Amino acid sequence: MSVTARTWFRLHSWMGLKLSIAMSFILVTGTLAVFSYELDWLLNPQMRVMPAAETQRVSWGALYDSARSAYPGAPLLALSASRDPWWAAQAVFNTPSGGLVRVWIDPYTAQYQGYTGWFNIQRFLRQAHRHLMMPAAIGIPLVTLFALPLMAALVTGLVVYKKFWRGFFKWPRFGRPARIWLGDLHRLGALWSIWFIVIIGLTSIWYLAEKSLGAAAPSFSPAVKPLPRAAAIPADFDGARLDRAVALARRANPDLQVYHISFPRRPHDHLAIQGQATALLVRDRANAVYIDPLDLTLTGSHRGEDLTTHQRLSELADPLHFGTWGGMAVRIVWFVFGVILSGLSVTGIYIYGLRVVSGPARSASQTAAQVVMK
Amino acid sequence: MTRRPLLVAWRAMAGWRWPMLALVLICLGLTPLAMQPQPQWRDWGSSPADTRVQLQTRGHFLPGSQFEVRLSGPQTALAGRQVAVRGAVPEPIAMAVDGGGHDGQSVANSRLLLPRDITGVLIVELSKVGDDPGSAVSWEIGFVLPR
Repeated sequence: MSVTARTWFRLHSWMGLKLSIAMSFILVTGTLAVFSYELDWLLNPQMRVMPAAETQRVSWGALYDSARSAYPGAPLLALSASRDPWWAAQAVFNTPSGGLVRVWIDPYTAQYQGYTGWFNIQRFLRQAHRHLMMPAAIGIPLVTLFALPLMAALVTGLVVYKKFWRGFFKWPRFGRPARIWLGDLHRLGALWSIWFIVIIGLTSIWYLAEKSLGAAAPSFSPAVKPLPRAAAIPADFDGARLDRAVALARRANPDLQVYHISFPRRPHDHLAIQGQATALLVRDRANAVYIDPLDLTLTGSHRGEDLTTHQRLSELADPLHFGTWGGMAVRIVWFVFGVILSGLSVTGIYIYGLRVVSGPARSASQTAAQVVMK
Repeated sequence: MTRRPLLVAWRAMAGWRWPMLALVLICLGLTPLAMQPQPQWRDWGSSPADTRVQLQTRGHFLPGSQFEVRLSGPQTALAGRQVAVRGAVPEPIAMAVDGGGHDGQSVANSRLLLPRDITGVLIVELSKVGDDPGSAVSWEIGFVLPR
């Protein structure tokens, strides 16, 4: 191994080892976060419904009325429906304490199913993975900085692994000592994960730039602001009016599949009807129709295609990082590669220990180089 | 897997293992704070201690919500007071205020777990006149989210 290759390897090994505890934690929580909603779904019967035909879904207005009667008097912040048919629709309310509570409604019968608190498995995994439960201004830069060694580990690993492109179909030598087969497995997993590491690394670097370096895209702002009203949601606003608003939104954007409705929080806010349309790889909020809840006039709308390049980039990050852009199949792929990536961090630690334990006669780097170069 | 390679790796992390472990431990340590809903205190002002006080708030309070009353004032004004919470429940739910304090001021906390839904107006009533009628008692009220 040349001096240069040895230096690259030392860098790879140093980063992988020294940062491994926090890196593994971030990778494992991120992997579990892929199915965090499902973990909550499994634990809370009020979130589950018997799937029925899409045509049997009740209107948004019926969901609104049901949610309102389940939790009268409290400010309703949002109503959302899942793409998966086995999920209850969710209404998020402000509680008297200023906190949040989730109320669950059957989307096929509009029956109230129960409520859950705001903090759940999904929130734990999201907050732990995103900012280590710290204040976001401290935690997000800390976590996203790990994207740099992650990308560096990829580059150094590929430099050290000579002719790596031949390794895609090299089956690990399981009959050999652990140091050998674990090294083979580490390299094989890493090679097949290159695309995934690039996606996760680049989106994390984007989050670092967006949240900490002032590169956030400008927020969406509708053309017209509604006139200030007496209350955020007019007193006579009900399900029938919400249905009219949704119909108006569908006329404004016939491709819009509504998944989320944000209710006004202040007396001059819009009703925002959001979802998916024709643009690929965007969040629901990228396709939105804004309506004045008082007189149900259209105050603005945009589609994913209307966004600036900067906004589009910003919208792209979440679906790519979370794996939410292509349904359950894509999320399974994201989870599997999340497991592999977490495994790379853990096996890297163990391989280091093995080569030191089993190769006392040689220098650590020489031993490691032989393992890596095989 | 044996423990020895892991031990070797652990030792090789010297200089970095505690800062890295600290990040994880901070995260896990902060989790209960995120899980534990904190009462949001609402200041109800103060009232003369010899006045029968009713405070009202409107809303739907889910079962499992905790309701907390915090009073501050002279010890004598607080001692022996009862706070009752009433809403769409047949009987008032009473809770005793435990006095205590220092520097002439006393803070009394009392926490109550709501056993069922209370919809509509929730009345908080300070039902016993204190022993020090001339002193003012400050009120704060807190609701804790259901878990």
